[in-house]
Amino acid sequence: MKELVIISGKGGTGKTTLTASFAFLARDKVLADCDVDAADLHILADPQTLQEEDFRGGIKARIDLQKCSQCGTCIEYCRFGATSHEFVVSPLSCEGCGVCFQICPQQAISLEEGLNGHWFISETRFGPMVHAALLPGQENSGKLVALVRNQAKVLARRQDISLILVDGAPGVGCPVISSITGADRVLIITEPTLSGLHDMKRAMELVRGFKIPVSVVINKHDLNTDVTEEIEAHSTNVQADVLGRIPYDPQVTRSLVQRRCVVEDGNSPAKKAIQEIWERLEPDLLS
Amino acid sequence: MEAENMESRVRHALSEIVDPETGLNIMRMDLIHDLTVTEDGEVGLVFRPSSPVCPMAYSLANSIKKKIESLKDIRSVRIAVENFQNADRLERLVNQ
Repeated sequence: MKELVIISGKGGTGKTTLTASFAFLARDKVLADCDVDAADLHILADPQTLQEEDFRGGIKARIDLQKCSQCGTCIEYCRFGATSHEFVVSPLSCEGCGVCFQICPQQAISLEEGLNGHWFISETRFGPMVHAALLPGQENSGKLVALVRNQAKVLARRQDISLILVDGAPGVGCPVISSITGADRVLIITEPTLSGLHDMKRAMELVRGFKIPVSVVINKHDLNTDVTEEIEAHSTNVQADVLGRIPYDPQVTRSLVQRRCVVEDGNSPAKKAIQEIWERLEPDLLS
Repeated sequence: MEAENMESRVRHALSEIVDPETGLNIMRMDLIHDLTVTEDGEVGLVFRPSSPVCPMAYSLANSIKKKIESLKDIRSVRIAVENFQNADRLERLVNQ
């Protein structure tokens, strides 16, 4: 079984668009949407949910109003301002530090595991997919990513599927680390802007720290040929192969508006470029 | 006790071990493979951590060993480790 993770460093460079295109082009695969903070692969994949479960983690305080004497000690000591004057704890503000639990003279406060989000196993028009949605303001996104990847592997093993395509998260933080640890290959998609170049370098440094083979795709390469050359030069310097360049192509947006991938429609320049990139990648993923 | 019954007890016991990262039990995570239980109470299994660099692998392997050993009529537990960068070392530690 091989696992290809697509990340970017900078957000909005085309991770999901490329992952969905690969999902259309690949024969047998399981999809995993590990951008759990802002999951959107499902918009293109059109999933029918087969299984939905809660994702719990983190601790939140809860006040038992039957026991509470309304002395206000918890309000006084909470440095996050999480307790209202009606003695209700806001789950968004509570950090689960436990100070209120310790100091409440009535022992009216309990610490309970909070609901952080939901995860799903779905059937999509591209094949099976594991995905998740973190609730606003919740934490533990790295753990949720680990869960999504694990269940994608379980699904692939059960259905005898040899490829997992992972749509990673932007940035270089916990959810990205959780997306790439132990993966077979990472593909960084970037764009020829200064922030695209800057964030690609950071993402590449992270991936190289894990000693995972890394490749680069430059999206909308023709928007700035100077930065494109810089991206290619940097990639070469750090032994990351540039798998291809995707030109700016309005057909990409036209397809997305129809909730389709550009590789599904017509014969546009972007479609050709993505197909060529996939043809370069596929032999390694099937070996 | 019949081997089949013992195997069912071992599976149930293993399903009580939860990976703290995902919150799922290790049977749901498919970390245990090729489980065998003989009538004499000899247990063998393959432990496959969720990634080759799983930081919880040592702790989980230890929990697996202890959990099975705590069951009635179990005489020995042999754990093979796969898909882990220090598989040989972990296997040696958990089986000593």
